[in-house]
Amino acid sequence: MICPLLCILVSVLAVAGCIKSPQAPSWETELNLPLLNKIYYAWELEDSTDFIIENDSLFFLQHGNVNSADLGEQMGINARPNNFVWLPLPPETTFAGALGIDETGVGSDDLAVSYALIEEWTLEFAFQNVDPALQTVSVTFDDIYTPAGQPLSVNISSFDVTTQVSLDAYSGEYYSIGLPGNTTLYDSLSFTVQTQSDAGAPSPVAEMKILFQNSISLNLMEGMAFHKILPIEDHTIELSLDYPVGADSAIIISEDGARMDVEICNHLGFPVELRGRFTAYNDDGESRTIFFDETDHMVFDAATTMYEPVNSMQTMRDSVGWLLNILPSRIELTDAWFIVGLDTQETGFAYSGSDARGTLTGRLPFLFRLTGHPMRLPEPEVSDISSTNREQIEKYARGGHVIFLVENMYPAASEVDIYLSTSADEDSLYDHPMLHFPRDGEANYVPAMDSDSLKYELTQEDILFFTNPTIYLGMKFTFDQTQGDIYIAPQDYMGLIGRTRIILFIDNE
Amino acid sequence: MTRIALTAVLALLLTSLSAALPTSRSMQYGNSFLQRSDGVHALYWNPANIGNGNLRHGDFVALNLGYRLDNNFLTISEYNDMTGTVLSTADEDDLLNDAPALLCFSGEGHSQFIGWSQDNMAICISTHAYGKSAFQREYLELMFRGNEYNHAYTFDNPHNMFEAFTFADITYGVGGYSVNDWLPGISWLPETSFGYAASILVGIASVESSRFYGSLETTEDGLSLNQTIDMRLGLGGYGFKGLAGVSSQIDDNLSVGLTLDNILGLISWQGKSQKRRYTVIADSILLADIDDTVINEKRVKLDNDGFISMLPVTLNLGALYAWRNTSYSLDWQHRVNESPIGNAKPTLSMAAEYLPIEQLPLRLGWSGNRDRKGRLNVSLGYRNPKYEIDISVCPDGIFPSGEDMSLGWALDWRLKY
Repeated sequence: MICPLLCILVSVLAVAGCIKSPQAPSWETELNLPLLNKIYYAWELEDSTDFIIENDSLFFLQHGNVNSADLGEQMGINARPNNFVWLPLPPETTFAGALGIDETGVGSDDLAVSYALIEEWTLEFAFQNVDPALQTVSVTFDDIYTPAGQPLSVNISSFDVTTQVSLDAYSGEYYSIGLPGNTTLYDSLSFTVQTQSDAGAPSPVAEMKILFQNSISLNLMEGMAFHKILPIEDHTIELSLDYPVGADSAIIISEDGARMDVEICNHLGFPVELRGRFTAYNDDGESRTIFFDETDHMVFDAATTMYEPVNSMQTMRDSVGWLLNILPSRIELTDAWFIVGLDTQETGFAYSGSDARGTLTGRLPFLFRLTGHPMRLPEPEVSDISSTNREQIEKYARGGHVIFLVENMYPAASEVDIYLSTSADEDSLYDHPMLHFPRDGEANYVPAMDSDSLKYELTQEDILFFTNPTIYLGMKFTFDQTQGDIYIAPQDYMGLIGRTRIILFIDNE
Repeated sequence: MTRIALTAVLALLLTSLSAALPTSRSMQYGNSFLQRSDGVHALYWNPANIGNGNLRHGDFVALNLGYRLDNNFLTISEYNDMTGTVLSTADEDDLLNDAPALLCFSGEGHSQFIGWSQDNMAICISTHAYGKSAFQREYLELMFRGNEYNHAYTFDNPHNMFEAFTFADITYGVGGYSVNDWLPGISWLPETSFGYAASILVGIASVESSRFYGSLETTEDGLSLNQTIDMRLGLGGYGFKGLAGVSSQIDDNLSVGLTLDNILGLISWQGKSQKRRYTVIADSILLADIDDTVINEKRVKLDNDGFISMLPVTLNLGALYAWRNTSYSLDWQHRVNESPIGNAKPTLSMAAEYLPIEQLPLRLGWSGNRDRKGRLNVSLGYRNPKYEIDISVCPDGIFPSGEDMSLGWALDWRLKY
């Protein structure tokens, strides 16, 4: 009994002993994982604001506004200082006089009126040395008309106080200077004075003075303008562009084709000319200024019909490319004005609310010369790595390589440098990176209009870099210097397709 | 993914854990056992033979165990070599070079918990487990070689599947009824007996992948993956099966038999049954944006309906020829359809037994079919009038070696009285 049992036991042990207890093996494997896929088409710059495509050409745009002051607010008539004199009034007689006027809002005789609607005006009549025999004084203005179209007539019978006559507009009814259709320019307003007095009144029977308490405010005027200055509001054009760092050294923008289009919607019945200056500022503190003066002939058409503004455009080419070559982040329009009424003798009009306003559009075709200086991404790319992924990288990753397929569809060859760091500080990232590709002997040159695979080996130490919670990736492009201008077409692009092949150690634990 | 993998592993573990063999004795003969069975073992093979054989009154069995695991790509030596070690590239090459397009695993285990026979009656409680799974070779390539860029990996039915099935039975059978007594007018009929057995089945667990789809692709647009598995799970059920057989003693040396198994055989899973879908989908994963990547992982319960596992009706024919101190048997088995317990292809089994001395039987068994390579059993036993002890192993060749891809072991003992 014992013998067979022993034999069977030995057999069982022999069978069982030839099989090891299960325990998973360990091995290395390689995983191909896509890293990134970014293609930067030139047409992607097209956002209808800063970049546009016209006729398959890419333009960089700067938009700004031109808003003049309201000319209507500056239309007024002052009495000339020599108007305010005491006029002796002979008894029982009629005589004519005139008030000299200066149709200006800024102190010079820059407007001439043939017809105007009065917005606000108060006439004052003052008397002194009045003889008791004086009964009434009638003043009739031959050039000032009531809303009914009759000459303005003022009858005064009380001479103890100053008599005020308001010519303000009420309910849309205006007193006017002149009548519609009048073409004669006024430089004075004539009037006739008639006195009535008792018999035997001395002469003069009194003295009278006609005063303007304020200038005559006009609602509408027809006539002529003589180089009237119409200020333009200061305006700043902010450019929300992230230029590559170093682009100002690496790129010389061709001035060929650069231009500034100014389109003005003119409500005034006078041609206007733009004067002023543009100053461009970049982030490096550099600035450039160009002036608009009479040599640029930025003259815009006058409106031909009241309340129907006219659009016209002028283009400036000189120095525009030079202005924009510093890659500005801000362009200011300052000390600018319109000159209303040029050297012509043509009549025109202005009315309350009329101004000249419009847009500025700087157009810069993508035409460059490259200097060979490097350019860097404006901001480093940021990647956050979760704690789980960091642990797995640390535990399993042994090394590998990373391959970047760079498709350089721009018309210039470029070297590509890749920088990795845990610091977002650009000096640290680019000057003291924790990883930098290429290393010695590794390629980083991509020909123009071509693609190339750049393969970089990763050691286990390199892999451990990716166990940091946040990593920053910087890229530097050094395009070959070009002898002439190169043109960037909308369909040009730079593609960056990255993939990694990571050696993983599959641990049996 | 982890859950899916664990489920697949569990399916295989179920098989090996129920390392039992109610017919562990049949494994001694490579399952060429129809006409060799007697006593308690005849309950499962041919109840007509319950009262036959060399038993005086009956036998008693308890805790007989047996299992078998097969695969088609990993030898025992390779398994031992790679277990717990660090694989070199050469090791990986060896494994991949020898691996077929489809990696198959299968196993079954049986245990006779306790059984007893007395004259023409037998009763037994036993458990059974079956499992099989298949995966494409590309899974192995992915493990060892990693993924290739711009290459799409696709895994789907029927190449990728797994299923496991385990149940217990309480079987009662009677046999040894003489057919000749029922048909006295047929003089040419040799001595023939009849028997039958009925089993109450208790379903323990069933799991199967009803749908399997996986894809993995790495391109410049990113990594995309899709893994969808529909899984039918059943815990707790009941069922029935019947077995009827006849056995004829043609002459002193030759006997033949016929059985029809799994009559009305089914298990109705009415316990915690459900159909689930596990889905993991991710699209265009780039490492640079990994923390922003959305990976959709869903576990959807498709239904809670119970279901029925049908046991395929099986026809068995067997013959046994005894000559001097040797015996030879030949069995033919055919299932009417596919099931977790076996495929539908006819299976042929044969065995030879040699007794160099009366107490020491040596056996060699073999079974196989068109879809499955042959399985060999080598057995050694000890017998005397009061008890028998047998042990068998399942080498691929005549003798067990490290080059075997099968692993099996069975221990059978019984008291005879």
